[in-house]
Parts: sequence; C-alpha cells; structure tokens
Amino acid sequence: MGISQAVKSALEPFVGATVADTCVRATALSLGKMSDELDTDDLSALEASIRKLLGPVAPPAAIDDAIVTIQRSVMGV
Amino acid sequence: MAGSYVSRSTCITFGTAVVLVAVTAVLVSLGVGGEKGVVAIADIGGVLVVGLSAAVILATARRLGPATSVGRPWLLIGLGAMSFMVGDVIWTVIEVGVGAEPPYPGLPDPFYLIEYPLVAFGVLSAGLAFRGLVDVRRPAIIATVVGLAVSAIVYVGLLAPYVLSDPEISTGEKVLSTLYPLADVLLMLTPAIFVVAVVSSLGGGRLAWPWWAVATGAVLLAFADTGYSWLAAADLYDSGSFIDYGWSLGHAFMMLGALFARDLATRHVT
Repeated sequence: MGISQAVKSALEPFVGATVADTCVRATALSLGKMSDELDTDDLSALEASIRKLLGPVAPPAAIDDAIVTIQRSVMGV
Repeated sequence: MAGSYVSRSTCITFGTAVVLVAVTAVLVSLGVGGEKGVVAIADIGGVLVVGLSAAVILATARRLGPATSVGRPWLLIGLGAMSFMVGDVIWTVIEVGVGAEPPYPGLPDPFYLIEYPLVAFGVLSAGLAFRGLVDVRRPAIIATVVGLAVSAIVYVGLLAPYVLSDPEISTGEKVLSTLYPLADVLLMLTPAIFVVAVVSSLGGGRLAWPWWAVATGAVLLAFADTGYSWLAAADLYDSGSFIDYGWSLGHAFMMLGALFARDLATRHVT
C-alpha cells in the first residue's frame, strides 16, 4: 500500500471516500506530482492541505485526530 | 487509541429526549388527569424536549465557536429551537395556566415562525461550507426543483382546496395556514434536501452524521407543521395530537446532530 492509499484509508471513515481522495489529489497537484508519487517527505504538505480543506467544515480536534491517524498509518507503510 | 465515536453522553441525552416523548405519548393516550391533565402533559412534555434540544444545540455552538463556520450553523439552529420553545411556553401558559384556548393566529406564532429562517440559514450555511470539497451547485439545483415541486403540491393539495377557498376561515388564519406549510417546504425541507445532497456526495464518513440527523429533524418538523395547518384549518387540532410528537422528535433529531458534531470535536486518537 502506497502513501496515498494509506492516507485515503485513514481519512475515509472520517470524511468519506470522495473527500479523502480530494485531499490527496489536491496535495499532489500542489506539489506537481501524481497521487501515487507522494512519499513520506510530503507529509507536512499533506497536513497543511488537509487542514486548509477541512478547516471550514470540521472542528480542529477532529482534524488533529485525522492527522495523527494518517501519521501512524504512514509510518506503518 | 481510538474510542467510540458516539459518546455515552450523546446516547444518554438523545435517549432522555426520546423517553420524554414516549412517556408523554403514553400518559396522553391513557388520558391521565382527564382532559386538562392530558393537555398539560402534552404541552409541558413538548416544552421540556424542545427546551433540552435548544440548550444542547446552543451549548454545542458555544463549544465549536459561534463565530466560526463550524459553529455558526449550530448557533442559528439553536436560536431557532429556542424561539420555538418560547412560543411553546407562551402556548402552555395560555392553555394550561390561564385555561383558555390559544388564539390562532396568536402570540406564540411569531416565535414559531422565527425558527424557519434561522434553521434555513443555519442548514444552508453548513452545506455551503463544503463548497471547497464537493460540488454544491447540483445539490442546490436538486433542492430548489424538489422544493418548488412540493410547494406546488402543497398549494394544490392543501392550501387551495382546504384553506384559501374556505369562507369560514379568517384572513389571519389563512395567512398563517399558508405561511406555515410553505415555510416548511421552502425553509425546512428544501435546505434539508440541499444539505443531505451535499453530504451524500462526500462518499460516507462521520463528518456527514450531524447533517443527516438535522435533515431528519427538519423533515419531521415539516410534516408536523403541515399536518397542524391541515388539522387547524379543519378545526380538528387538540393538544396531545400525534402532531405534537413530530415537533418534539424533530427538535430531538436536530439535537442529535449537534451531539454528533460535539463528539467530532472531542479527541479520540491519543
């Protein structure tokens, strides 16, 4: 399982499959990469992107939870 | 470590509201306290459930930050529920305290009516907050089309034959009996369809739960109000009618939405 898939799997129970995919694609796009080219060096960019996208609709604690889940999930990749 | 995403206090608070509605229904159906007792139980039961709902929703808004895009919808919905509760308290004072039949139109009606725009703005602003994540134009078009179609059905099926054409109904009653069902469709049902269409496009996830619950509540309120308009126009409404439980349960489901939102704001991963 690649980083992008690990991030989607971690986000999906919280935000749904469509939005999880949007978060990964938006990050990859901002870095000039494809989703499956994301690696562990891109985690901080992913975090910033997720906070920006989910900020208007999710409480900060929920976003913090999602970020921690992603970090743990990615460390296991 | 991840815990349960529905807290014990959410289960207890929503359960309390449902039990209150059930106890009220049982006592009313058994005719406890005679005619006056039934009216008092029905009215006070309604005030308690709506009051609990308003307090919980407003507390959620305060916790999430009433000035933020996450908390503002709950502030508006909570103020709407609070306004409805004030209307219910006035109704109860007239019917139970004074022992008179509440006038229709009467003093409670402005407070009931204020809830519509507040809930509509709250639900619409919540749905629009997702515009950075999903397409909100299609849900807006779907909700508008369905809302206008249901408005036409309500006009043709209820207002024209039973309310507007009846010479025995006063002008004031006609205005209110038209306002309630149309506001239900346009300011409750239509925003509910919009937000459900928006959160459906997320593809699942707990972020959608609060808005499924609020939409369920809005639909229950819309059915209760439309039923009330029809029963009031036909002079068939009495406190303790099944319609009363639609109002109580509608607000209880909106409260459940706020409780889900509050649970989202609680750290589960440590």
